[in-house]
Amino acid sequence: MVGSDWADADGLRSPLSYGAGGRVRSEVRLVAARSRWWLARRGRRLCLLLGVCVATLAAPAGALASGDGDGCNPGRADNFNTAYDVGVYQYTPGLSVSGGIRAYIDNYSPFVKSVSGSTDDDSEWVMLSNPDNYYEQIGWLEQPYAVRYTFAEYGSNGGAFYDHYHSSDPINTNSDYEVAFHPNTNEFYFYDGGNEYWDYIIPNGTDPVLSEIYTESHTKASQVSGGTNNHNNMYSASFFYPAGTGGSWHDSAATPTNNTNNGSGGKFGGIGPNSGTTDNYYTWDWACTN
Amino acid sequence: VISGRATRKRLVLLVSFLASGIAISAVLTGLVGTGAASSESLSAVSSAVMGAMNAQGDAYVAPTANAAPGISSSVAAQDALASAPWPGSAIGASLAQSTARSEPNAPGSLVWLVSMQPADTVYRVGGMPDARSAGPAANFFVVVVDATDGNFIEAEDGYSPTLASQASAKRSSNSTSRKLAPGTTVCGQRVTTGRIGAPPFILLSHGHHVSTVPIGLGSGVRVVLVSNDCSRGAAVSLAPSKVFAIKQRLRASHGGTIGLVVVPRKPGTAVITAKRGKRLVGRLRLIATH
Repeated sequence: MVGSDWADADGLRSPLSYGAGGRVRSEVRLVAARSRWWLARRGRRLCLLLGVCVATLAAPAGALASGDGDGCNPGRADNFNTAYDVGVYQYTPGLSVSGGIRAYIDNYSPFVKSVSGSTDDDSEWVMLSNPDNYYEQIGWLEQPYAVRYTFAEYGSNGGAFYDHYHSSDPINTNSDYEVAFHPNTNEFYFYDGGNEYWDYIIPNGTDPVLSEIYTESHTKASQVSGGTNNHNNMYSASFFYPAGTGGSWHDSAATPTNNTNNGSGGKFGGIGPNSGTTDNYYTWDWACTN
Repeated sequence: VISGRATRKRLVLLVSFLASGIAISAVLTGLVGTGAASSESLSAVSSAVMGAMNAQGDAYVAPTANAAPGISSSVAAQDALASAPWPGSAIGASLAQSTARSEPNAPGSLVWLVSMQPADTVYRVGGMPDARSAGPAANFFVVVVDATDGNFIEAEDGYSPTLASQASAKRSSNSTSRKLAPGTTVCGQRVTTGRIGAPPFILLSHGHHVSTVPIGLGSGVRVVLVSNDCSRGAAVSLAPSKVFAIKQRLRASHGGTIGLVVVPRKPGTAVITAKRGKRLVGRLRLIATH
């Protein structure tokens, strides 16, 4: 808990203005003008020298503007804050308590639409939940311009939620994401590659019974992870039941779901099982080949 | 003459080059400085935000008295802004020490917690399929950086109902933050007992209509004004007693109860009822939330 020597402050006051973007832009314009003056008068060698400087300064902005590592802009209209989920789910047999869900998930880098007034993201995660009460998940998320994090989230149907953001794993690798539930302490543990990122004790006593692996976007203008020729994979999906010392890991036999109806009867995202398996799946966006 | 011109030309060249260099340096300084704050401009992270963080299991604590960070709070704020998932402004910075529950930090690590106000609205990352759009936006934002070198450790956001109720109480009444102590006048009545000296101290509601007040578990002692109509002899009760405990009654000079100090015990709902004889004079619904 907070120590007594922590000073109190009003967290709701107006923020300090750190965004001196206008001043910086003015300075950039000033230097650009000076550079043009200089280049016009002082020859090609200096032109080359300053050209290198300008190129160096401009490079990060150009890289950001180019967007994402995989995929494509699907070119669909924006309808932000509508959830689109493609993935698989499975209730534990007999609704016994789920002790864990894990899968190797591609760290795919989809196109994410930049929406006005909100920081949006695409994500892909494994999740345990009690659908009437709460959910706990871990996976990757990507914001517009390829800003990525590993994240873990608790959410309750009452509205409360908590997100933890950590440095992301490299794109086009895959990661072993896992949520585990310990029934004796009502505690959830979140792992990426076996490293614990967070643990959270649920405040009420309901147990998780549903396991899910989904890729999620929040506007039709963003890409569902994967392309028709470059699938986004979820490998070796397995879940642990019943929770506690008597349980064990089982290959998933999850039910694929795809709720990416685009409003005109068609589907813009797809999911399929890898042939001959019940624990490997892949997703794609019909508008993108890769 | 030719030699003089050549000398002047070289001189102009040299001066121009230096000027250009200074201009570039100014831009670089401006870019690096964007988002930075002077240490004087940052207050501590508010206790309300600290409470929201620790309520979801982080358990950061105040540092030891001799803790010496390697970087200042303004540098920490600058580093936090550079790695935050949400573009915005820093509003507070506090030095803290991690515990065994502050993963992925090693216990005892010295960190800076930097609270932020994002420029855009931030919603939960994932959630139950199809349920996301109904959720509230996050109401607290903190970036954790290493106090030695400013390296990004993690960022956290979320929606805390407790924080929301505190903010709502602050907004809704300018009389809700007064300190009740013997001699304080409330509704024309002088408080005779029930000195409350330590925060959090918030008068969440007063009046006679039925209203609902959420109070977070673990949020500490709360004072609820239940009757301000100077109703002499009103009998005030709270039921069921398992959800909230009455720690203290505040009595005014007329002899009636004007307030209760309550502590939430477990999730649930309880109702405070004030009656004079058989007549209902006040009712207040309290909800203990996570």
